[in-house]
Amino acid sequence: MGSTSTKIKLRTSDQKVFEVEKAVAVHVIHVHSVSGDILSKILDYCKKHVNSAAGKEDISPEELYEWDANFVKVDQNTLFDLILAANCLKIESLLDLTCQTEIRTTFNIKNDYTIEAEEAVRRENKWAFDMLGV
Amino acid sequence: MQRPRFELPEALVMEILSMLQVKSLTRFNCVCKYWCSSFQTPHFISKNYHNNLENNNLNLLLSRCDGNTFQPYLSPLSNEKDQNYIVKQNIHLPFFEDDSPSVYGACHGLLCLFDSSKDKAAIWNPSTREFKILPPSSIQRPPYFSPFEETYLTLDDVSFNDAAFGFDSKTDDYKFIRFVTLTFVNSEEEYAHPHFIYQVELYSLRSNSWKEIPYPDYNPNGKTLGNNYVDGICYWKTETGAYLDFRGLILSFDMRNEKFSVLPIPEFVGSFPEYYVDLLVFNGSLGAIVYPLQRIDTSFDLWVTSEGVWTKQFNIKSIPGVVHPLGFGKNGDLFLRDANDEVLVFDASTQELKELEINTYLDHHRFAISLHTYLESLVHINGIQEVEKYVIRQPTRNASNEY
Repeated sequence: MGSTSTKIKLRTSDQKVFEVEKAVAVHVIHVHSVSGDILSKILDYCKKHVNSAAGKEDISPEELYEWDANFVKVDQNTLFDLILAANCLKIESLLDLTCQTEIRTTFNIKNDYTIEAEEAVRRENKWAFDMLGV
Repeated sequence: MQRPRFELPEALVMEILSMLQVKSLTRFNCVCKYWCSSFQTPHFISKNYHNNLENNNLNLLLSRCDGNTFQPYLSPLSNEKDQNYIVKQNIHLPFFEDDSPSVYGACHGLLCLFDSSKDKAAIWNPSTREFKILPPSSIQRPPYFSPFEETYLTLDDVSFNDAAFGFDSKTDDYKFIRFVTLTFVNSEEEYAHPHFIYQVELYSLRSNSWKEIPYPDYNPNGKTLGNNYVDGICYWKTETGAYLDFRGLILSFDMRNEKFSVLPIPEFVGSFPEYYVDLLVFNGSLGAIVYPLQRIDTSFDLWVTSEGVWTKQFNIKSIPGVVHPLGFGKNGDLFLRDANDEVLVFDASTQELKELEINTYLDHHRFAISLHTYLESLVHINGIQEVEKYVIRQPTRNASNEY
């Protein structure tokens, strides 16, 4: 374990302590409103995405998309908690993923976009997804 | 506890969605294909615009010039929860290079920007971030034969001054009208005396082409405060020019029948040279802010005209130190420029004059600062999404530090 992998400690609302690599937990903000279960799921999500982006894990965009789709196959309460936590921790991509799923579930909408088509529409309208944007 | 899933009639879902902001709707393009295509129908676009109109979802833009770089830029002014107006983002327009573009509109949320020294113009929807560059003018420039010099003169310069941007409801088309000045000189002469020819050209978005319009009897003269188009007609200040009968007039152009017309400005509204009569659009009608030339402590009269009848809407008494009005923002706020060229806001309800903390003292050419307003809209213009080559949006330090 060299100086390249600095670790960070996070304490949750139910007093659990997690130790994670800095790259995975980019924002060290108050997590006292997030429970251990939810934070554990979120760390899984972040780890998966950071590793795939850094090339540490050999996973295609389609496989990642499927992993994401399975990740959000949870009951609505858990989904709702994930949304709140992603918003609190400012994890943009997770917030997008969970909100879309929530909208589609609530309004009973089937996503008829292919992966490429959805990516294309997102890219065209990139500015609208900027959380910090005005 | 399971949260309820519910079946809403499609029409109701669309009704609710039509009340959302353009930014949200743009994100929802990704929800499904049906939503994406629905948002692009004329019916939905019209509904959404109508909601914005009813709720007065007005956005404000200040056109200014950077004091260090001398580059022109636009500052959207946002006011949240009754706070003073702040700038969270600046919009630079490299498309126009070093020249400050004139801003016309808004019409259905669209603005038209153009460079008065070059044939460079674009239609812009700041809400959807769509940018449509107009093709160069295809209008023939006539030759000029000088009988005195017995030779054809050379076309030395083509420049554009007054213009207007509006909508033709008959053909469902957005049009841009522009006054052209052609300067001819005798290229053989060292100190050539210039000769001028004037033309009017009209661009149609639907046909993406230009055509020439017969020149009116009067030259437009003087800028309007913000928008100079309302309800199918564009307006410019003009005057008779006759030496002993100098009267202020209004030149108008009807976007539907493409004809010019002239309206008088009654004496009781304000007469030259004692008063400034600045045209503007107020609450959906043509109007004017009238104020005296001489004094520094200025009081403003707001007049509105409809079917030839002029009515004084209200008077704002003596605001100290203020020189020129810039126009109205939201909720009756009047933007003004003072003797130091600082921008202030007068809140008519509280009678308070507030400074805008937007560092206009750092600007260049502060006398040329102008205020423009537009409603959010989804209207399409066959353009492209903003690219850095043409439009750059930069958050200000306040916005990017704030978490």
